[in-house]
Amino acid sequence: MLIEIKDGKMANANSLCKLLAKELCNYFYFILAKESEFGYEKEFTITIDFNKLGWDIIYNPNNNNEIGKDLRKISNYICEIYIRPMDDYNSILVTTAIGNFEDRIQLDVNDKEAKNINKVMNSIQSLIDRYKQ
Amino acid sequence: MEKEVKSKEMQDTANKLCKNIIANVCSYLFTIIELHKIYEKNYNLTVKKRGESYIICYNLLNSKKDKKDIKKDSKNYYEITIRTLKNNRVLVNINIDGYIDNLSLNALSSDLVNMDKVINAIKKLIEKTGKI
Repeated sequence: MLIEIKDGKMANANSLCKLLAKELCNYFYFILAKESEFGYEKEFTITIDFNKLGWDIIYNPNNNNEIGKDLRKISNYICEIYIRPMDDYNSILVTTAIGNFEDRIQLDVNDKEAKNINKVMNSIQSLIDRYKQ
Repeated sequence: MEKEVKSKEMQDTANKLCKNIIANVCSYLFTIIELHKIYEKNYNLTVKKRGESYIICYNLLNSKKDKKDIKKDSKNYYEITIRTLKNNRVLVNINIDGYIDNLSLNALSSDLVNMDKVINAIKKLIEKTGKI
């Protein structure tokens, strides 16, 4: 359980984090299945780490299982997404980084799920577009 | 020449099935892990592509350093490997906490049938572990 659920606010934040993690993973598998966004890769690793802070989703095209800050120095293709609830549990912070491009969006847990998911997908897509230019 | 084209088509069909299985199995694992809370503090779900083969690993970790110590036959370790074979077949090896099943799927069968076979096999093995 990501957050010890003490009230409705926490439960909402928890549930949005979980939903985002699942939707983002599915999105990743979808774009990788197309193999057109990042280019065809013979090898890659997608890691979903769940810890007490939230979810870390990392796409790494290198044959290297070490997940750490130094990875960005190895390749620009690495894509990292971090999903964290904010202290007030009213919002979720989603940080996305592809190569040297980074975007941070704060989502209101009271907004519609579809709206929040859309915001994150758009953020990733715009980073991919910038990256491809 | 015609033989080569046919062989390439067969390979493409099998590869497409592999990718479909990856997306569906990961989505299923994610759902079932969260639904039944099959973890204590942390977990790690990894999809690796090595050539034309895919490996899905799920570890229940208490800390990041556990990652290095985890053994394939230990408890709390799932590994699913998916690879294409010749003649339109896809081989799926499932290891859930040491409970093993192997499936050989026909890529020409409907995706729904194949996916159902894989998900059912995983579900049965997780049930054997007594976690769901």
